Amino acid sequence: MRGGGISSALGRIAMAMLFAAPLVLVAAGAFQPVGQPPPTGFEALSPPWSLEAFARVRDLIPLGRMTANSTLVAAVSVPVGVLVAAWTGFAIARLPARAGAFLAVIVLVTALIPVTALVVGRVTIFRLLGVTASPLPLMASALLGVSPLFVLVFAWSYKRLPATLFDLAAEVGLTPLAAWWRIAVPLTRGTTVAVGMLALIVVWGDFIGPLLMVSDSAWYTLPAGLGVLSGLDGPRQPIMLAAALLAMIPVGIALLVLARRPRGHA
Amino acid sequence: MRRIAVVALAAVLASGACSTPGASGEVRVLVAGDPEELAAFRAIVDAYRAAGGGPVRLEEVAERDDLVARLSTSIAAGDPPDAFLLNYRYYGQFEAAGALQPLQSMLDTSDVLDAGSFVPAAMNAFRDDGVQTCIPLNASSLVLYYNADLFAAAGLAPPRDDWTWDEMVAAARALTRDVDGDETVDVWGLGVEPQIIRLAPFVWSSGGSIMDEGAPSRIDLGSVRAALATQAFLDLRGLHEVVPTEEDAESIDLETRFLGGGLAMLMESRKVVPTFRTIEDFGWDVAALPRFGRRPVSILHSDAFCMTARAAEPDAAWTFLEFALGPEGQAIAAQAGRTVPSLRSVAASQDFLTPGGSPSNSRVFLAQLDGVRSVPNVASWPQIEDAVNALLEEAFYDPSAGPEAPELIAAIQRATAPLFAQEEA
Repeated sequence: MRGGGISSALGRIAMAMLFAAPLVLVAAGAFQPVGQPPPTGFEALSPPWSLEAFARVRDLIPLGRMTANSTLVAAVSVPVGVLVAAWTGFAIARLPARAGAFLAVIVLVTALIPVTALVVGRVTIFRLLGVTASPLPLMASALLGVSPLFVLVFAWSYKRLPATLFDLAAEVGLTPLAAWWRIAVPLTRGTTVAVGMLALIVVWGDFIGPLLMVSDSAWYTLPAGLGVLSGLDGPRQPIMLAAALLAMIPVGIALLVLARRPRGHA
Repeated sequence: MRRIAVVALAAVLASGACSTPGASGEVRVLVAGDPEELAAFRAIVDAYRAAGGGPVRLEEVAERDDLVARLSTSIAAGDPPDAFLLNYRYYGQFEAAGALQPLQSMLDTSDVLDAGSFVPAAMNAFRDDGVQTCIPLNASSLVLYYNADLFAAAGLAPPRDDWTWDEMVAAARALTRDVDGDETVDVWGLGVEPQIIRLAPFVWSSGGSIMDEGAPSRIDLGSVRAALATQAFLDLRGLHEVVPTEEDAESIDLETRFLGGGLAMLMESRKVVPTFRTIEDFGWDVAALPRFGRRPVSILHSDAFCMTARAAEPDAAWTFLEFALGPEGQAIAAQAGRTVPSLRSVAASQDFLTPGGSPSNSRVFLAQLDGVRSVPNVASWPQIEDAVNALLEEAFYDPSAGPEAPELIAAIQRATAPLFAQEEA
């Protein structure tokens, strides 16, 4: 291996270790015995190990129900959100330049609005719809593409495709929807996968939703459960870390599966 | 999270009136707490249902800030819970916004609750212009936890009820030790957070005050007595070096440090008792706060059930509150060990005193309530407290750069003046 290759590999390993370090600490903490003063140094990475924290998570929060709720919300929100973001982005990309730019600016402005300014309005809408005691408020952001940024990502991605492709598609009688499905989607598969992964991370980690928009604790998702466990005293922090580790497993598997999908051009 | 609460509270004030959702017969009660506290609330609801009560839905969150954010948002959106549980230092903002239904008339006609049965100081903390706005579920105070084994090993007698500040400092100096000779402290003599609610009891004990009398309009730590108490508080770290450094306090919180045997004394409320009951390696107990002046004074820690002005089920909610605040509900809450009942009969019962259990001197929580004081009911108190604590922390942990008491007090008065002005507006 050449010098450049070695340094590149070392750089990648260093970068991976940088991002993996918090995960290693969470895992090491989760396997610490419950009831001991929390470690202050590298003793967190050494035995004795214990599975007690994992066993005690379910004594404190309904982990199974919360995992099921999170899975349900993600299973609905991610595909619907990606679809909405992709369609909206495609529409922006296919509009005349000035109109598309205008809409892109509108989307960008909405992305800049702090979530704090929207919470009351959203809860009011959910109350008027009578859905605050259901998981629907947690899924509602999917109807807006989960995040305005995802709409922009799709718009920029579709904009890079040659316009002649879609002009030809129109000439042979393809509808805009058919052109999107047959031309844009195959050529931007990488973008779709990336947005899907990001959407999953956003939806899975949503703490504000269950805290402020759902009135029935039975629909709480995993972040709400982790919030409850975060109030545990120091000697019981392994329980919180164990729950955090368990909460990462489903989304970790999903991200690994998504990451192995074939990539498109964009 | 606090930003969301502020925005939502502003919406509460701006909207004035919110529509009332349709009644469903189910009472919604918002509570915050750690897993054990939430379990105690569920047990109260279960007991209420078993006693023939109607449906109650608990809305559970983990932290007080989360509760305030959720409550503010739900009120502003016209979807408030019927009742909620909140500390007296934080309920004033909702009272000022007109978001609460005073409970005085319901209490007056209740066959279950009698105002005279509650701890007066706790009732007073939730009273405005003679009207009982909320009713306290608990009435704790700041006490001194101590490691009995460390005291014995140092040849010190346990803290007495009439302990003085100077005696406490002397004990803390004797107990602060470098056990292994590595020139770092392994056992600290005292743990206290640099907060206004920790400083206030000693200012009061000195004969000073933290705010001006009547309708509070400014922080009033300016008297000589208050300044002396403030300087003595700062000296715990800066001069005597008996409390953990900022780095030590950040790396291991005081509660955990006490659990591990690295702290001889800790100023805390009742809330740490369930955790301390897991201690097996040493003996521990509680004592009254030392007096700085002629008599000891502690500060009230109390949470109360309040009813929202737009409660959908006010009658059903009151029926539930009567149960939760009554002897049966308070006994269940007391068994969790984290709170001191506000009903004097329950506080004097075995449910709270747990004969043979720890702490053996639980009566100190009751004895202190006679002289306990509370911070004033000011709507902007949470913001005032944040501003004061930030300055206090800086002066406490960085004595070389931080100001002495007089400069600190002047800085506190300058920082909080706009908040009081906002209050008057």
